[in-house]
Amino acid sequence: MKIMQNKRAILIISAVLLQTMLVALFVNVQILSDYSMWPKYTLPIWTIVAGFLGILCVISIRQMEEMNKEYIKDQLLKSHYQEIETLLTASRIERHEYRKHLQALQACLHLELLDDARQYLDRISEQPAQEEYLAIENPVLFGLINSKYALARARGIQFSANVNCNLTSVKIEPWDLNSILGNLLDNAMEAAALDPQGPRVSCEISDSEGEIVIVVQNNGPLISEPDKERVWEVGFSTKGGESRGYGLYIVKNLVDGYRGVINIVSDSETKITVRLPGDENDRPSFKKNSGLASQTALN
Amino acid sequence: MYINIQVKNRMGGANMYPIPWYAIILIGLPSNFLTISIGARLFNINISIQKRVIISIIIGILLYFTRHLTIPGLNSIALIISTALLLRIISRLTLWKAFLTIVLGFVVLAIIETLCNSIIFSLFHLNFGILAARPWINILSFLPTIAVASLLYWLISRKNVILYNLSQYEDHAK
Repeated sequence: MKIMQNKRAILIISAVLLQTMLVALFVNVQILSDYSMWPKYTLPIWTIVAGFLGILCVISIRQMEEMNKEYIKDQLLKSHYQEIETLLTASRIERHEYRKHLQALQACLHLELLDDARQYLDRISEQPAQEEYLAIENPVLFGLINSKYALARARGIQFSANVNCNLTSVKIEPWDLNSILGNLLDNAMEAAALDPQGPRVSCEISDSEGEIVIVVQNNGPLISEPDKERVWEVGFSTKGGESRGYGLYIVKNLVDGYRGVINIVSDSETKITVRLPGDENDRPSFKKNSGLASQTALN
Repeated sequence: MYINIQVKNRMGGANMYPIPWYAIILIGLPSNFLTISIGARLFNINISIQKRVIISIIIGILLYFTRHLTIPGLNSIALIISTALLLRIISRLTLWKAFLTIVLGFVVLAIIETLCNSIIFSLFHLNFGILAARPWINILSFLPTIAVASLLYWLISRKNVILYNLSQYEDHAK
């Protein structure tokens, strides 16, 4: 679908550019040559036509860019919506389970089987909850981090997330934030999964010196010095294989777009730090683990 | 712009007035450089200055050796294709990305040149016969185009204007 969208955009841009190019070329030849298809006094009109076409060409391509942005935004929102949907389904299943337990307890209490009720309660309280969520105020981060958390649990990866700010101070589009953090976490989990002894991924988002700092760390294989320069290149992956090596490239492009800084340290563990400049004039009060922010280390 | 050299050259008769080497340096190189720079900048494609200079020089040399092609427009199209191919090889861009970059740069420069030429030709009562016979006037008449294009490039770089973000599409040529 995305490939089709790209091809369509490229086709339209090519058509618009080529037509304008031919008109400009033709008018220019008429101006410079001794032979003219039209009387020379009509040349200013054709010049204006060429200029007008050029402006239309620029506006059309710009509109294509806007449409493309809308399309990407829709796709990211759709993926975000699906993540929320998955969480909701899991939550419904959990609720259904609890209702069953409540009914069983109710029955025991009505029949005055207090010992059975006590035993039943003891047993279900020993069972680990099927789904646990990290409480995060930001709705985008809530959906994203919890879906990655569920994925990490399924893969047996120890996952911890620490969100120390509400992110309202940074002017970043939610879908871009989703893409930056999502790609960093996916990469970190893939790398950590290669560690046979307790794969571990941690994520920390904080507010420091007027910047939003995102740190994603994993204990997977270390990245060599030459590779550190190349991880941002499109198609480059330390794990090899086709259709790989686009995550960090996308992250780098987005961070650059927000005039942020990204750096990678790989000594005992691999740590990627993204710094996004915040809005100095509209800084919120610093919310430090006020209950809404979360700090969890499970599995 | 390529057309400025070749058409004026043609009008004087290709064999009678071959493009002088200094016209290649003073018109061909800056216009090639600006074509690539403006196109790449507007499509958010990063091409190093060294690569842009190398491509401009190669195209300048090609332009010198193809100066006998006397069909206006055809020469320009051939040079657009050559530049796109060079960009593909040297910068490792996909062919369509390289092609669109050059075409956009060419369109911008062609329109600037069309507007500048119209004004200059009317103001100074120039004709192609004068330009073909006196290459220095040819070069001088091209200066406003270079100045306006350079100013435009400076502005779009400063304001970070991106017409369409082609860098989001991966370069399979890597």
